[in-house]
Amino acid sequence: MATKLFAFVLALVVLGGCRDDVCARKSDCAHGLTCSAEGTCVAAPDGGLSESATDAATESATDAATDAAIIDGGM
Amino acid sequence: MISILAMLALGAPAHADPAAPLWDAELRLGYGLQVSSGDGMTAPRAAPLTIEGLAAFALQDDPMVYAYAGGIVETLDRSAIGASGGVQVESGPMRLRGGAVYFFAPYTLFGATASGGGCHRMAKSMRACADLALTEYFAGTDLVQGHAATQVQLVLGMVFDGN
Repeated sequence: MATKLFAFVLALVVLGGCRDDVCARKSDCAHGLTCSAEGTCVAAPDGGLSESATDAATESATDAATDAAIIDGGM
Repeated sequence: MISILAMLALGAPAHADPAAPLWDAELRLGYGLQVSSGDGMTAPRAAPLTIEGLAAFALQDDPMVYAYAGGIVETLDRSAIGASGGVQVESGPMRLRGGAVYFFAPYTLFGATASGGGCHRMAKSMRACADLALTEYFAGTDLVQGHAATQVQLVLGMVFDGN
């Protein structure tokens, strides 16, 4: 029974899993790509920067500006 | 994995079935297919390999009902970590399971899962199990907006019975 189930799923994976161009989740796509509503991997609108990376860049720029203002104000 | 399948197929020496345990621990490996569902289905593609470690505790007997919980990771072409939990009903060597899955890093993914299968006793306190599992991921940052992801997996498990 288990062997038949395994063979069935394996056959499905071999037959259907060869489609690397389709996606069901964002993590199915390579870095810099995202999963479209049509289920294909396309270039991410932010050029591959993830939301957290964008947030981190914005946060460090804000911190740098704040530090500069403190230094200027203190002199 | 291959040795487990071979022993299941060839029929390893059966051990007398002791009384149902009050708790057990299980290591599960799952692999299969996934499709995008919801607003139109996509062609199937290989799902990530899932590795799950679970503990189950008896809630009642006749039939045996267990509550289970544990950790889960996705691997092969990605790395993600999460948790799962639910309820399991056992009758003889057969079992049915229903519960929830939640991946929390590096993305979030919420899903409902159901599985059914059977176990074969390999030793006094060890069983090899095979289940067919269906998981529907319906929310989370890893999903495409307006779509869900359906995953079908064959899950092989090794259960270590408590007392």
